[in-house]
Amino acid sequence: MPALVLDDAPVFETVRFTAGRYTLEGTLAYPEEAAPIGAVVLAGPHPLLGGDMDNNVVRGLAEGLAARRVVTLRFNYRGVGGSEGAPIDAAAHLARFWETSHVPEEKEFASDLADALAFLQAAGRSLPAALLGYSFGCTMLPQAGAASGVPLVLVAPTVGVHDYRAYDDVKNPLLVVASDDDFAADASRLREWYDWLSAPKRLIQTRLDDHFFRGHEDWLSETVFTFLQEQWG
Amino acid sequence: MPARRDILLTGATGFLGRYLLRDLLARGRRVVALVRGCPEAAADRIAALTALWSDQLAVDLPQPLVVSGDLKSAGLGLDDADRRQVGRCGAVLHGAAQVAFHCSSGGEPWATNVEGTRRLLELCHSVRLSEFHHVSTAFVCGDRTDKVYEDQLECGQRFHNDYERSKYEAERLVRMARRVHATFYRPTVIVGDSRTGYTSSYHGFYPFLELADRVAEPANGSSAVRGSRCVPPPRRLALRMPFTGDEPRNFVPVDWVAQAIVRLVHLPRWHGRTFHLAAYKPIRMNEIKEAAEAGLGVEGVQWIGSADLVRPSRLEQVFYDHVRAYWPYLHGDPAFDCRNTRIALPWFPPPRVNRALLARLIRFALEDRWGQRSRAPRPGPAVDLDCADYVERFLPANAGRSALARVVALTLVVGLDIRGPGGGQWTCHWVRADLVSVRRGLEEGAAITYRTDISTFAAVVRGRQTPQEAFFARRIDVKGDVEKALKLAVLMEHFIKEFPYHPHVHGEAMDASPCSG
Repeated sequence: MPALVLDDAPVFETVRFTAGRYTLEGTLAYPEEAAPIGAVVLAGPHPLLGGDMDNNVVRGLAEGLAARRVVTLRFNYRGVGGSEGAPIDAAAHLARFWETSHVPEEKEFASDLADALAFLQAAGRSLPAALLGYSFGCTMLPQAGAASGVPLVLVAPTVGVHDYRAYDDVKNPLLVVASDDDFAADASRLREWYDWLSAPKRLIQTRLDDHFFRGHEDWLSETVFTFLQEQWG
Repeated sequence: MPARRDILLTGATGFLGRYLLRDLLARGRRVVALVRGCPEAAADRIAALTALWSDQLAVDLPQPLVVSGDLKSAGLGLDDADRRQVGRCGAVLHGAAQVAFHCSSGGEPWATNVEGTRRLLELCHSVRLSEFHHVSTAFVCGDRTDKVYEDQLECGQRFHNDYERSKYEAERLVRMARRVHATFYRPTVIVGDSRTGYTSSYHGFYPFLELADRVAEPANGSSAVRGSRCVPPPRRLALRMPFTGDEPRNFVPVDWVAQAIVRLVHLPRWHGRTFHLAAYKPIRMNEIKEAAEAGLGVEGVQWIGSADLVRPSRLEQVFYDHVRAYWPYLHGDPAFDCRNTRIALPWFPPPRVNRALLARLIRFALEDRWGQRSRAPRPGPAVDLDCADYVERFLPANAGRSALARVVALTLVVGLDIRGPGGGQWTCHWVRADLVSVRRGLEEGAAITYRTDISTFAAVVRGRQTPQEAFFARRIDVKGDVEKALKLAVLMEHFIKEFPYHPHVHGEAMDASPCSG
């Protein structure tokens, strides 16, 4: 049975914070009355592949963790939704995106994540922090400037599509959760990459609706929460 | 199966009621629907609704039992057989209501909201049906401006209109009824479906917008091209409005309200309470204005705060006269505390009503011509799309001039499996970005097959929902190469924006090309 805190439903608050020369929108979720036990920033998937802060996994985890007394911040990258910045010029880059799954604008998203973390840590003061990425969002966690003890949670890392070499030097505790039928990370390839990591780590691989976790958001929240509780002591 | 598993539903053909019907059936609950009219007509209406929802959900929903009756008749006008049927129910969900603001010659809204509720309670008492779920309104709070709590009803408030007062009186009746264990649901202003924009009720949020759409002056000047889209010049609407822009409006989408109610109906430990079904974060008038200006293509509306309007223009007089019924709500909605709802449904907060959702609601309303189209005898969300025309004529005619043609690596066989009346199966062959053929039927060897229902397909090609939104909402299934399917969905989204579908114009060059200025 999940460790729900049913008598203290989360509060959702729209926030805006500065990222470079832009102001980004986000949603902060936190328990209304109980003391929070930690704070998590969530990095969403690629904006051209369903990536905004209302994606089912991002939203489900943000709300599920908040209901378990974790402050969460989900946000839109620059140019996405109500965040300032030039929208991705998809039409200009369609051909490249079709072949590489990349567009030039995405280079700036890692600094958006770093600014989101700084904003949450300023708001959450002494709370222990964690970073969580889903899909493409996983690629950016090592560049977000998190301190060495901050846990990193990777949900459906796209190791078959994007570059994950930045994890070679990561020493933060890692949780990797993936479906064993994930189109973006063949199970054996993911295992090979995971085995190569030198950080303290845990891998959970099971059948979870390909890359999308539709209908598994509650399970995901509980799994991530259990890991964070252990890490935060 | 537990005894008395059936649930009696009133108001099943109304705006909220048809969603309640859908969600009860989808949950596997046996529904007995109390419907007005002769038995055959009542059964036909419910059968049509059920068939429509079955198509949309792509599942075979069970047919509800229909009892022909009327809340305004003694004993609800039930014959003995129907009365026995009601007696086999274990609960009642009372969703029927009249939303007339002021008393009509027929005695509405009192006849339905108060007397109808009284008769329903009498029937429940006589058949020993005690589990009563009552759909009320958050506006039983009347003219209160302080924070409204769920456990409050009688606080010395006054009422803006007969509707509020009648719903208040109905709640009192239910609370006072003997041998009734009642749960109360108080939605705020119910707006259209958060996913499709669908509505069949143009009250509350809509009258201001409809009037603005109708009275705005025709535009002068030429269209502008933004990106690849043709944007007509804005129409002029010289209106001064007594808002500051900061007034909060509490809107909740109909699909969320229905799902929240049905979830709570099935959570017995929360029965006996009152639930505010309200936005946790209301939208402000400024956001509504921005969405309306963009959605309706108008400009010129000014906020003048609470100052009196000096020398109103003819247009302003007409406008104010038409929306006078809503005048008492000018200063915004009070804050509704939702503690019970938050606790009972921690995983199911209301969708945020923001500019994007408002834009969807406005798009639907414009397509529906503010209810004129759907007032034709067609239940539920309208699905009026000739898939074959779109897939076999429109897509091939325009694909070569679209974003699809710019992806030179696009060599792909794609299947389309669209279920429901008007749907079909096709296989499309792209070779180096050229759509070389569209054939009927599904061919083996397709790299991707998209499977959906006709209403989702219609929502997508009309731009009410993006292909990716539909996929993440599990309205579209993909077989095959998921990554390519998601990327192709991005291309299709661009295609749909570049080439809006107008089925009744046959010259593709006219209906599809970006405007030339």
